[in-house]
Amino acid sequence: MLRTFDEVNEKIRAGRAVVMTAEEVVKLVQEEGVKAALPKVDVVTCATFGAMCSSGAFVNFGHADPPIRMGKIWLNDVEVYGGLAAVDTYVGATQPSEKKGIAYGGAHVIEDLIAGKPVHLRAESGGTDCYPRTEVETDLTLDELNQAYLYNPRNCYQNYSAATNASDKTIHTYMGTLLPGCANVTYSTSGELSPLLKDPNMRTIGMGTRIFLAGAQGYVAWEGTQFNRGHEEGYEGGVNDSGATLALIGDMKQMNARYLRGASMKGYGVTMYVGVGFAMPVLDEDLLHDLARPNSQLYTCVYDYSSGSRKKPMLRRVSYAELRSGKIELNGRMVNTAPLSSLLFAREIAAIVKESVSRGEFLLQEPIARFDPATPFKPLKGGAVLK
Amino acid sequence: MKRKVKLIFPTDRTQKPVVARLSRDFNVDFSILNAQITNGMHGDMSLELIGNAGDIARSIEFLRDEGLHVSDISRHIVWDAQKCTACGCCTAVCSTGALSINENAELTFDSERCVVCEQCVGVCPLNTLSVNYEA
Ligand code: SF4
Ligand code: SF4
Repeated sequence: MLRTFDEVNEKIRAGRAVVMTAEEVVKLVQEEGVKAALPKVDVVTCATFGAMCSSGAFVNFGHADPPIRMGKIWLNDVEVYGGLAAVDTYVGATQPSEKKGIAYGGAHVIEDLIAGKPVHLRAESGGTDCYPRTEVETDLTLDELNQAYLYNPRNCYQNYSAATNASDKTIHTYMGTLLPGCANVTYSTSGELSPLLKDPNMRTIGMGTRIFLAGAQGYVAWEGTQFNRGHEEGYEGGVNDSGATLALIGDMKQMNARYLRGASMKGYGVTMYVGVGFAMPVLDEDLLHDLARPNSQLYTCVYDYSSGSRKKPMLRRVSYAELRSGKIELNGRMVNTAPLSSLLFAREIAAIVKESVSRGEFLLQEPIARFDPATPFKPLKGGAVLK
Repeated sequence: MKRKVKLIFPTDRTQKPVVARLSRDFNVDFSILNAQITNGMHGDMSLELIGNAGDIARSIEFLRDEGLHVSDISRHIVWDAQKCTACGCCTAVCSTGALSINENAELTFDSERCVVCEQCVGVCPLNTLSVNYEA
């Protein structure tokens, strides 16, 4: 090993670390090769800004007088979880508003709180001897809450399939609007800026990794749900089209609403766009080789999303360079491609993290524990025969 | 032919069912694009009229005789660049290329190429695209 986390952090503290975004390092290595580039870069930053449904926030309201043990709770008419202690809740990002449907949901509540807007709390209870109050209604801002932290059970997909629609009618999916007859293809990645695509063996990412989470310094809390590192043979970069995921945590009071947006996918539901950034130490040549992999060497597969089944038909394998070009060949003709995640914001975040590391404000945390690469992702037991 | 018009109702006319008479008396089909009418108050309504040119002209004359203000409308797409994150979802449905992601990963909207098919409007997950009806 050439460098350790400690050595890189020493350099960062001393203001001597050379930091580059993953896009910059792709260029450097293309021009000079891995060997010559190695002494020239200590830290590489990656980022992503995409829709991440499996997200939400834990919130503590504080007690009213007389106190209430909240059983049913709404924030801006979005129901939030009432199954925790008296005044704790979890705001699920995808929960739709009871008045506005999917135009507003849990993700929008979280965005509004971070933006400093007041949010309307309404709660009901049966009343108990120790918590006699049965109703409460008030407006609250983020400052007035005790704890408020994002805890996203599944963010940062290592890779994700691209989507098309082979049927004869338009379909609305979490992969956007797909036109009939495979007339468009959508995909969601920051490609050569994408954190887990650039460190496919997760040598720098594990429990405790410090991250940029919607403007705050947050952490990788656990492996993400549906974590699946089953590498498929023949995939350059050792990553298949789903892969690892991460559970993330961070303090909402430090966040910036520019990097967390409530969103509504037509015909599908509420989701949340989250900006996440990473800084990886360049440990050795092998890692630099991975970090410098360009879009032309990063792949996914195009699937037919009109198939209602869990196992969708795969139409072709495609590189992110081809997808980014705006057109790919599918079934012998050229088809438009469209991204769903913002490369513009991913670039902005990678640049911010680069700045923070350069100024010595963002130190690298070596993983406290690593995630088991062999974790299989199981379907629902008996799922194929359920009615 | 089709013609899009905006009707402005004076205060005392909002309760009169004049619009219903377009198809009955003038053989003009219509669909309501937008309507804001509060009983007894000033209201407006945007209609698409479908029929032959003479029938449509006569129906508009009738509406004016009834005291309504009638004007042709044009629609255009309004894009709120401040809220846009350049995610690109809208480019998936824009067949004319009016909405596209440029080399700097920014979203660009070229109104010259836009045919106001409105495909993009509901598709934007951040609700930054809307149709504006202008009289
Ligand atoms: S879908 Fe909306 S937010 Fe995304 S690029 Fe288009 S206009 Fe911008
Ligand atoms: S209205 Fe149609 S042509 Fe105009 S920008 Fe939207 S999708 Fe493109």
